[in-house]
Amino acid sequence: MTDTPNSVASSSRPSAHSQRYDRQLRLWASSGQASLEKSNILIIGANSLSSQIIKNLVLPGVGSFTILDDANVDPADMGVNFFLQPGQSQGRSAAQEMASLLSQLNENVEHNFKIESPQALLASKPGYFRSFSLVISVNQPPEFDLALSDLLWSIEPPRPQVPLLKIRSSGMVAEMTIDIKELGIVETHPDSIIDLRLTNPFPELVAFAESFNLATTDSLTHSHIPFVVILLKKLEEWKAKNGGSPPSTKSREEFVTLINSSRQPGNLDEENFDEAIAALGKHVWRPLSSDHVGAGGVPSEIRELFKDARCEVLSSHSTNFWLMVRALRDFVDNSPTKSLPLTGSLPDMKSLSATYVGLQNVYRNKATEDLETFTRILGQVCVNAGVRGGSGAIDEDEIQAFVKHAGYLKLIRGRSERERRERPRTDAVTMAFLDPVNPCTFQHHIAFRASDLFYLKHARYPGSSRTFSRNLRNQDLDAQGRSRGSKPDHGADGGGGEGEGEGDPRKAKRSKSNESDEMVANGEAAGVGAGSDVEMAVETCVNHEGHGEEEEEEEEEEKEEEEPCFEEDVRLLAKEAESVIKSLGISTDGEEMEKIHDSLKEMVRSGHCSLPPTTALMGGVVAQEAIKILTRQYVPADDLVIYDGIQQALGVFKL
Amino acid sequence: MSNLESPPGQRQSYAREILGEGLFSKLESSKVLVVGAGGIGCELLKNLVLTGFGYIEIIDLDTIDLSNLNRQFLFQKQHIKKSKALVAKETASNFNPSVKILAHHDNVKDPKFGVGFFQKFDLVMNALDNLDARRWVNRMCVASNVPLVESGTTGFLGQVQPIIKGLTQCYDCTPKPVPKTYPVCTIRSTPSTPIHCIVWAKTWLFNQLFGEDDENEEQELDKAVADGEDAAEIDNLRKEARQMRDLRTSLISWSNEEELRSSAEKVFRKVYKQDIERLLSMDEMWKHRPVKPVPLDYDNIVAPPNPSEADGQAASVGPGAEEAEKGEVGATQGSSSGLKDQRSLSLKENVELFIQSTVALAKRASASPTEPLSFDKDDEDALDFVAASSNLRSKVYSIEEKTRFQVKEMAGNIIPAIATTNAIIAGMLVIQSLQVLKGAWQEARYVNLSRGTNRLLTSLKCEPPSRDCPVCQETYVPVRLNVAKVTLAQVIETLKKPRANKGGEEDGSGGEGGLGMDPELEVSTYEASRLLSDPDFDDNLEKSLSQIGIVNGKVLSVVDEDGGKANVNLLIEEDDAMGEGQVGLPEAGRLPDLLDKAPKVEERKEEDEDDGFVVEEVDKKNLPLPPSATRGKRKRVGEEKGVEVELEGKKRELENGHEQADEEPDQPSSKKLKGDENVESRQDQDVIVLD
Repeated sequence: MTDTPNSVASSSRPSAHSQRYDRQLRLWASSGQASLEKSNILIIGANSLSSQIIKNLVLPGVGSFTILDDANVDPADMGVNFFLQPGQSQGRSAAQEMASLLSQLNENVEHNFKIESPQALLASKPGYFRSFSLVISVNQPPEFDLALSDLLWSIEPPRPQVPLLKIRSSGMVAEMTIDIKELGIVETHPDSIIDLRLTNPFPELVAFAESFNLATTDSLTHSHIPFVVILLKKLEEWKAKNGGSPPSTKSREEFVTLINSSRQPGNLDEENFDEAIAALGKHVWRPLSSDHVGAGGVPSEIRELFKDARCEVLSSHSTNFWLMVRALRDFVDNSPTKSLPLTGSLPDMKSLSATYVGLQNVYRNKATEDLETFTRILGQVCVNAGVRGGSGAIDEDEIQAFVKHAGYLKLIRGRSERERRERPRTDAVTMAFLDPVNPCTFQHHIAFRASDLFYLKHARYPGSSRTFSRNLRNQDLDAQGRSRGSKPDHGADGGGGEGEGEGDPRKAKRSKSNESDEMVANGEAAGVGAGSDVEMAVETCVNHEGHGEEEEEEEEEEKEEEEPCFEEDVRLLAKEAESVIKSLGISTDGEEMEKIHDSLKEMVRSGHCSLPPTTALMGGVVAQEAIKILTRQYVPADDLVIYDGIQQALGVFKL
Repeated sequence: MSNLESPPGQRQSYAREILGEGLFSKLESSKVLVVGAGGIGCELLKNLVLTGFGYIEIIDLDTIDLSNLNRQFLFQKQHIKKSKALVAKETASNFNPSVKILAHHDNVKDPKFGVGFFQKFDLVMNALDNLDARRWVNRMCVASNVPLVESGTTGFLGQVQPIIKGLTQCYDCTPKPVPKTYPVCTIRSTPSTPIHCIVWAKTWLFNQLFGEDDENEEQELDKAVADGEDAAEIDNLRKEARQMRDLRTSLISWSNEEELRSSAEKVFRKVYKQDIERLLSMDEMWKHRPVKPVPLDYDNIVAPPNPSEADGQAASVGPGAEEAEKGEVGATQGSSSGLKDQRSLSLKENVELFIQSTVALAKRASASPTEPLSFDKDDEDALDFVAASSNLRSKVYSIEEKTRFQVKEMAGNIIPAIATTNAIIAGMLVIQSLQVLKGAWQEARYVNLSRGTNRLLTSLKCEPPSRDCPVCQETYVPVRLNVAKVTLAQVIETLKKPRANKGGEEDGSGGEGGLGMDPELEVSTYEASRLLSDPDFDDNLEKSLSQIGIVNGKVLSVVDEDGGKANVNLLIEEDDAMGEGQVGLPEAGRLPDLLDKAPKVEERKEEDEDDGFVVEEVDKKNLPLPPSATRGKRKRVGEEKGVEVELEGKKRELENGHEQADEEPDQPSSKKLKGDENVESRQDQDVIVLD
């Protein structure tokens, strides 16, 4: 007996593991946590934004992460990246330093780093990128992102697909594009999965309701008739009087009067009737007005799944999601009322305990019966599809979760980066600018795209020096610029300004031109003093005014390294934006242009610098979507998320 | 120091450039206060340090727990049980030693953080997890005229609200939901849902045995009788309570382990057998109830006539509760061990858990008899006790039992909290703070983070203050005085003196200068909701303020009996240098104006379009504030206590059933948790507890 005092407590108390994750287990349960812990994530780019993203993935406990980057830490990083050690990290590999500091947040997470150029690695070992469960590419060059996207998109089953998140940020704005080929989500966590079938009751429920008498004179009994029973009876009564048709919202008042007519005069304890009236919207009108689950119907989104080719043609490679969708279709076909399986959940309501338990049993028994039928059908589906293991191939918990959420499934079928660029959804773009309520954020996408084109042509980002740009992206601009080929009118200018004697670019400071130590070392005038703002940068433009415009461009580019000029950059960027605007089908004479132009100016002004509130917020947004994808719970954004810190808005677009 | 390579100018070079020199130097020179070093607080502190804020004070009274580490990233395992504020400061300072951070391991409601304290800041940021502290800080900011940025998260949801007195709504301009309450008889004798049993275990049984003596118990029962509850039943409850006190004594004054265990068994026999049997003997009660409770027999459960059954149920000895307590994650423990608290216990196990946890708590209670225990969700013994005792009660009443994991959520009002949401909200907090420091109030936004797939953030222009707000529509006056040397009457007298001329340099030390209150005005005075005087109650007028509990940091409210003038709140600052009868008001130029009360408006009612049900606005009665003469009837000390009738909770419940309630962007606090199932049975969580 000596060991008993702790036995029960120790066997029922949570482990340290679940204590640590307690607050999140209540969001995605142990199934979601297990998926998270199995994941291995690749983060490309060791910078302040990626450190925030990784922090938000390490804390909830992903399986492992790997940071890929060959850059070293420089002083400007220290100011914005919380996961570098002052006085220690400087000059070392950013990927290594970040990996080791971030790993201290959670010893359950495996951390790795790879000091290699992402571009080089993509060219030499594409298979490396396919070995992760998720890839997050942070502030990488557009052509790298596109090549990576092409690579990951080409993965075919049975190899698991690798979703790709591509993030860009500049000052107060940021965006994320999500490449998901296909993601079937079962646990979408709708507001409620309660399905009372009031307007389409099953026989056992009808029988249960019949055992009550609304005209009883016993006040205690009367005030404890559950609202479900009140509504079932009143709906029957209404239908009997109205030729079998249920009440519509138009006849709401009359129906409420009908309900109230059964209240017991003088009985003040009739909250069950209040509950019945309060439940009308949720459990009667809404189910009736649509193919809402609560009416025993099949929502249109689920019917779409039934028609999908993947549901139609099954094979041994079919995912569990599709096997179960097919079983669901067969279940509905076999159901006398053509209904989905019942969830069996019941809301709290005023009633006697025994009545409540009785009612609960009616719903539960039906739900259990439906689950058994579904499982049997699923077994047959699996066998027919040639799935190894047949009916036992799918875990019982997974089946249960699927049946519970059968009315709320969500299929995300995304687009690749190439599709988005070559065949953008121009209607979505038009809608983006028409939102009457929310501030429009889409213009920033155009600015980011234009900025990419600018970069290809000028070997730097608008508003920032080449040194800064090169370090931001950490790559050899000469190679990129030439191999990709700039537009013909600029020919080989792409990398023209790159000086030979600059030494190892990785050692260069990641600072904007006006602070670059390097330039001072080179004996060049720094243009403006440290701490200048845009106005001062604009001033330097004045010096350029004497130059001719186009024919001098080449010469200008030579100087751009030292003196990016605000107005000139805005002009050049606007030129790049033209083709983007055209490809997205945006009319050039509307208000859109003003928004776009403002955004372009902001892009130049901020020069792709990192601002802590933006990286913090975006780090949260990116990790949140990553978690939804990894856990296959909740519905992730699809597929372009744009944050605007100036208007304090965040929009989601399907481009 | 360690970051000599990074000259301070360069550290925040990006922020300086993007924000502009003007705003950036404001950040460097401004003083900000962060209230709360939890989920949002950690993120916020990091952001402030990175963005270039120069002076930060942070307050938190909490210590670090293992369950914080999934999001409060400034803390690590070695910091468990240490002060959140101090560790947060340490970690953040290490990153940038040039930022001045001052940490207070303290309660923000402590008198030392009075108006004088708040006034030294340019901006206050709330990163709190409870309504009470939020309201307090809101009131202090309104009183001190310091801008506040309020924030909160729940799971994937969150919001940020900039507040400045006079320009925007304050935190209390919109009504906040009140916690759900249950009628005393439902809890004490006729539970029908698991939450009834959990409330019984946590607020009644736990307190009876280990908690603070509940002086209100008798009053509650009186009130229940007055409200028409069955008098015989109530009488029965009184008897139960008396016996309980005896049991408590025997539990706490134990002399050996065996005796203690037998006392715990006595408790079991009483609450699960004798009390139930007595209830059953009241035939009247069960006439209309088809299911009667079934008493539990200790001996039969522990040593059943057929012993093989019991053996089969014996719990396996887990790898180590001690390990778990120390917060060690055993390398061998897989994630499956995380399910330990999600399994259902057998009846015998529940009984054993009841006895064990009672013994454990009794030992702690007897170790320091003057300090009653209070339920805390992170206290494993307390949670074991509540889980076991509520499930045993569920057994008695044939109610569905809950796992320990579920009980913890229901009893502890646990709000899911994750790093990502906190990161988003803390980022937005800084954005709003920048608007505030710029003075760009028209640009500031009430920002709401939702789970929608089309827009995650919605931002709304800040609404102007509500004219009938009980907090920001009142007058606040800091007064310096010696609380031992000034009577309540003298204070009122000073207020009624004419105001000093603005030009005439009054020194404000109680000379001629008053507040200019109409001398004819009939006033009553309060400290929070405690009545100190009114025209018919003058016992306290000649007492010194210290005698009636008005000391440094307290707020003395002066209420116009006719309701024409808004309440005047005197913020007491003790100053020993002040003489007999001296009341130091602010100098003439800084003396606030007396405000008129908003015209009385009819209680707003809104009709639900969809189902025609009238929902009344949640009332503001739970505000710890003096009533105004136009609002509700006055109650003397003690009167306002007692059990709130169920109607209160019912209103909330109906509001939640209200179709649009969940989607109102300006009422994020009314959002319900999106749990897995039985969402609607969790109204008890309507209390906004945000991280």
